[in-house]
Amino acid sequence: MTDSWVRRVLVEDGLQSTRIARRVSGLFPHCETMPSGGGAGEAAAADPPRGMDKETLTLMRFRGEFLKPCPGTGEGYICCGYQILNIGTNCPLDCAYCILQAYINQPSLRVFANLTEALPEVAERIDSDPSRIWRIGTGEFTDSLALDPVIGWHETLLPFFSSRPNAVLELKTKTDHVKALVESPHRDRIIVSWSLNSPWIASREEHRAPSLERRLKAASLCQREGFVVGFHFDPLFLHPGWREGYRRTVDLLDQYIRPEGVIWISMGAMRYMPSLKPIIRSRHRGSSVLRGEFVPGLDGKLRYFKPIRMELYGALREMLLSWNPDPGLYLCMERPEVWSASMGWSPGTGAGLSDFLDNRVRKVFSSL
Amino acid sequence: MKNPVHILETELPLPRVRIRELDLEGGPLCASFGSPGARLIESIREVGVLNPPLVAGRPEGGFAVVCGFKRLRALLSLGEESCACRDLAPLALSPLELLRTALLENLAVRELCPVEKAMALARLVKVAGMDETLKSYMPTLGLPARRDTLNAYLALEGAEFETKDAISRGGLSFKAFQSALDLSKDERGQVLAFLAGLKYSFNNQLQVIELLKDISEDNGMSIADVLDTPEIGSLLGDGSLNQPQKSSRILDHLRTLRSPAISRAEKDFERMVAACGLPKGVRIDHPPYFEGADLRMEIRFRSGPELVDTLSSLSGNRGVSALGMPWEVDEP
Repeated sequence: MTDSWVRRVLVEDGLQSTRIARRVSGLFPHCETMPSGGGAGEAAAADPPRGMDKETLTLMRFRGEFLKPCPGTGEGYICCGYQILNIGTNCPLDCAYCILQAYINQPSLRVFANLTEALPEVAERIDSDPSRIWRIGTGEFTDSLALDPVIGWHETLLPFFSSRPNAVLELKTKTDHVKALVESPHRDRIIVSWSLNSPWIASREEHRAPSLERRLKAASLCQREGFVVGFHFDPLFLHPGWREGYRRTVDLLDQYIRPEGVIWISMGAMRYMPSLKPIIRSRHRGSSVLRGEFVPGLDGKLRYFKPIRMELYGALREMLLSWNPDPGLYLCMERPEVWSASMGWSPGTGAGLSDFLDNRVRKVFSSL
Repeated sequence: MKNPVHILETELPLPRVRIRELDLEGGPLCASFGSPGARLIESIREVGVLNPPLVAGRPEGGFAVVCGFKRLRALLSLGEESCACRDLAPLALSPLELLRTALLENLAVRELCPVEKAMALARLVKVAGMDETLKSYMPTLGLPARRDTLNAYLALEGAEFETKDAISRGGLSFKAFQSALDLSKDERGQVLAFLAGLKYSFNNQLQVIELLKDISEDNGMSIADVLDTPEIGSLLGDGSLNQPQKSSRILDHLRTLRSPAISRAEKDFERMVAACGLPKGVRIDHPPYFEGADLRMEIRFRSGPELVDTLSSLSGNRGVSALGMPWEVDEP
């Protein structure tokens, strides 16, 4: 359980009465109060947070806009027009390849305790553009469900999004923390999605994450309980026996998941900012995730050499199509020619991909 | 902390100190590395020591040098036995104040090399502690106040003489040293000696280290094994190559080992372009690392008619019309 990882809880002064802080202090009676504007490890800000302090939970005020477009990536790569609801940063899981290791410049699990109080503002944004389908996720800067048993995001987010006529909320996770979800009465406009990989990568590189089988059992439960589900094969790796490995994961999908309830499946090959490399080397000695032929992309990130990416996507696409003829398959942050070569078509632009995914939403949530 | 101006305002003794009795190579205040340099020796030969070195008399007798190590070494090399030095003992400065004095005096007249910065930082950490050194002295030395940077300098202070010497002479970059810090001490020594021997540019030094690490990880070999491969041995021993050619061929070899598919694609592309038999003044390049989608053609010409001829020759060129990315094209 995630709450057994948390050793220390800090609450920013002035937030004690928020819904999230009240819930957490019920679970952790020895919460410490932190001066407003401060943070765990603030003094060490000049140094990279190698430890990331995944045992301290900091409830703090988020001072920016909660709803923001996904940063995506630079020119030349097709992004999907996703929106991020910023519920916190850092994650109790410890995947060797995690980009957050380089993004996050402050340690500790940071949860924005003023989220509930900020939701009316989010509603206003969404409602102000009723013709648009807002695809919103919370799993960009943290795992959507890893801390849910402690924070209880489901209590506010599920009813909030279920009642929005033009938005869907995607909860992306590697965990099996779905008990509270399936006990909730809210289903509509909610997508629960799992990050999947080959068993080889899942067992060696996705530290603290449940096995693929546990993830898919949780997905199966959600599906049986009426949730729409999605999957993300991201990041994909070229590792020894990768073809057979990904085949085994697709076999597991076949074993646990009904294809017709899947809204989309994304694929993205390993990519990383150069600054992540020394961090992975120092935090995850012996990790295999940096192996292979990486080249600098047009956005400055390192990616597998293009024909390697095409081969990875093409092979996995075939496997997935043999399981599910209509999986809503798309590539994350890829070039148009990679789309064409590996998928047989290309949305051409971010707007094209956005339309494709919006149509998937309309198809699966027929009331939209 | 005493105001350093006081040093100038105080009448300090100027004893004649026997140079051979001083510790000129280390000691708690030394932030000076390497020989004094021909220019300094020449100047002292011509006009003598204009600014007396600063020393601090010890209660037990003898002196510790505070600053002026290079001047004293220059005097030694000129065969001088003694030198008039300003003794700071009457000021009763603390070890930290002495170090600070030495540091500021040095920084006022020259840039410290990375090895000297490492010496200064190691000594400061001993008397001022890590946090104070980070906060107050890293910026003084023009360094970012980062713990990992400080740790890298402390590691340099503990490095073997050959590495320090190569860095102080400019044959090896501090960044290369820093990048090799996660290697074992033996491997680090081997890699740095390899780089210094091949006289790579600072950029290429970093590239070679990254390539060696990647190849070693990808193939489950030690870096020593990578450096000991027969290919590298034969390039190093090839008498027909001069040193820059050896360095360049070894770098190419490491790139091919690290990225065989990319190297193959580059060679295939070169072959495809060569097979086109392009007119004079025309070249075709692939995008960097083949990541972009567009090939690029450059035509040099001196007149309109020459351009028209070139274009006409290109339009009928069957090789050009079949060009594409190497993995998309079936070679004839």
